[in-house]
Amino acid sequence: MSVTAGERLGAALACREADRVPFFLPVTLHPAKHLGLTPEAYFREPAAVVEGQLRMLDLLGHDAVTSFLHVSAEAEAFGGESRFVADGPPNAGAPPLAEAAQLERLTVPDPLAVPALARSLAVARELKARLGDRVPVLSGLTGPLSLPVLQLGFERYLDLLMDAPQLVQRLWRINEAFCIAWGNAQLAAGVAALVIFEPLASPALMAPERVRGHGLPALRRVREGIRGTTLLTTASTPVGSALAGFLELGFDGVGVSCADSLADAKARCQGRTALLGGLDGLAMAHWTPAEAEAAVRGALAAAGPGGGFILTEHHGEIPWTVPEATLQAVAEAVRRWGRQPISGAEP
Amino acid sequence: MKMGMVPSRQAEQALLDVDITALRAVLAQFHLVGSGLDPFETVLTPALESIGRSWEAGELALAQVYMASRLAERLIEEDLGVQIPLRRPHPPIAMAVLEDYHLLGKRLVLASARLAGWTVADWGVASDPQELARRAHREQVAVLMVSTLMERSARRVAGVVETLRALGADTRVVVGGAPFRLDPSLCAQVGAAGTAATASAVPALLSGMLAVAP
Repeated sequence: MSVTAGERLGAALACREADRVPFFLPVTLHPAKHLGLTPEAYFREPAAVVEGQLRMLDLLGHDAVTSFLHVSAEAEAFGGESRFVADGPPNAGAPPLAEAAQLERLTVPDPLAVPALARSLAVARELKARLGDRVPVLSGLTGPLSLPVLQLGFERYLDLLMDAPQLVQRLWRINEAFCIAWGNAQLAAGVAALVIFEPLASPALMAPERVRGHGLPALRRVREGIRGTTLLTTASTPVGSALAGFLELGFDGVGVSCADSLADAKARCQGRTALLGGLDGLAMAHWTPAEAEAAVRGALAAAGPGGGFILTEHHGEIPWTVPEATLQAVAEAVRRWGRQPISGAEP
Repeated sequence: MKMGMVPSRQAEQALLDVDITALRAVLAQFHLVGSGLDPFETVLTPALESIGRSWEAGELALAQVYMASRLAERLIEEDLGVQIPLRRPHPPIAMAVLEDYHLLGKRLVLASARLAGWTVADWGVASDPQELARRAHREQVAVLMVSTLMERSARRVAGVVETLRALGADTRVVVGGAPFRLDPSLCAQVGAAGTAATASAVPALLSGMLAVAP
């Protein structure tokens, strides 16, 4: 009997091998193009997203679908807006929390009351109904340290960290509660595993001592509060020295950037937690099929042996400019070279 | 403050500690020595350049670079009450963020340029590449610095460059931001004249482009 995508992903999350390395290409935008819809029309209609995800599943044969829509949807929970464009992901508009008084009054928003998030839940429910346990539905959320970039703007966030750290700490606590509520709502809708995007936990963005002092405890509380499978990633920002701290938090998987050594990360994660990453979406935009194959083989050789590896794009969203043919070349290379057991020999 | 360190190293430490009292002490000590040297050029600028290099080498976080830059700005604005010596008059330079509301990079670049004596017009957020180019042409800007956060915005810089060319403008476009750092080929793809990996590298880039001695 053939191994299902769900079993393949489950084996990797349990740090075991299956028939081949599981892979997932986070195609949040391509289905719109595929269906001939604008991103706005696509993201506003859950049925279109479901149809698009199923078409991508047929096209690529990857091991999951996603109900994640776009990052700016989370900004909407705090009064922000999504600004749609015709040829890319929606961008978050002006940061909604401009005044200190707003932070003092802020309470935890109900994710179910946010239309954009409700649409994501509708997508998850329908995908789960259609696919059952055969193909898992993945999704994600922005972590408590990184949400303030959407809420305040990066500049104001750092200004407040300098001038009013108590307000930022209050915001982090609210964000923790929101992440837990939003994560559990997605799991209840049928999502099998959640990726927590936390670029601000990267030592490239935030001083490690601040992450250790406040960030890691917050992430641990989020992980403990979400009743399901959770993975942590810095969304293409280098993990570097933070990996040791991440491994202490108990996530089911950890994502690394293509700027990190995949082989080193694998050695540290082996038998402890699943590792995800290996593909650079920006580079993908100008890959030839041969380059796509070489990239896949390199990642499989570095992190495939022994199981516990999920090959994916390191940022969490394949750029709009990546051709579908390149995605198909990646998928084909995984099917060709990803059969387990994999030796660690360089291709 | 650690005794025995050169003033710029002391200033660097104070900036990284976000400790304005220590930074004041470094500069006060420097003034007491009575060297007659410019404290910006000999203390603050080298300290910020060193911090920028450490960030580029992956040894510091962007938040640390930003906070150090802000602290230096505050010291100048609030404490010293003196003007940063300006360079001799130079052709107009402007800077804008294309599409995004995350202005951190712009602020870092403006602070770095200002500390090095360059006058840069802050054009805030631009949403239309063609309009940005037309404004640069209208105001006879010699160097237009464009910061982006998203990959799509970075690619739209090509529209700025093409419009400037169509207008016959000799404005040079300098790009910066995460997409250009992560994909070094992107600068050439959009037709930009140059890019700087860090804000602290911008003054040298401007000197080279405008052939103005530092």
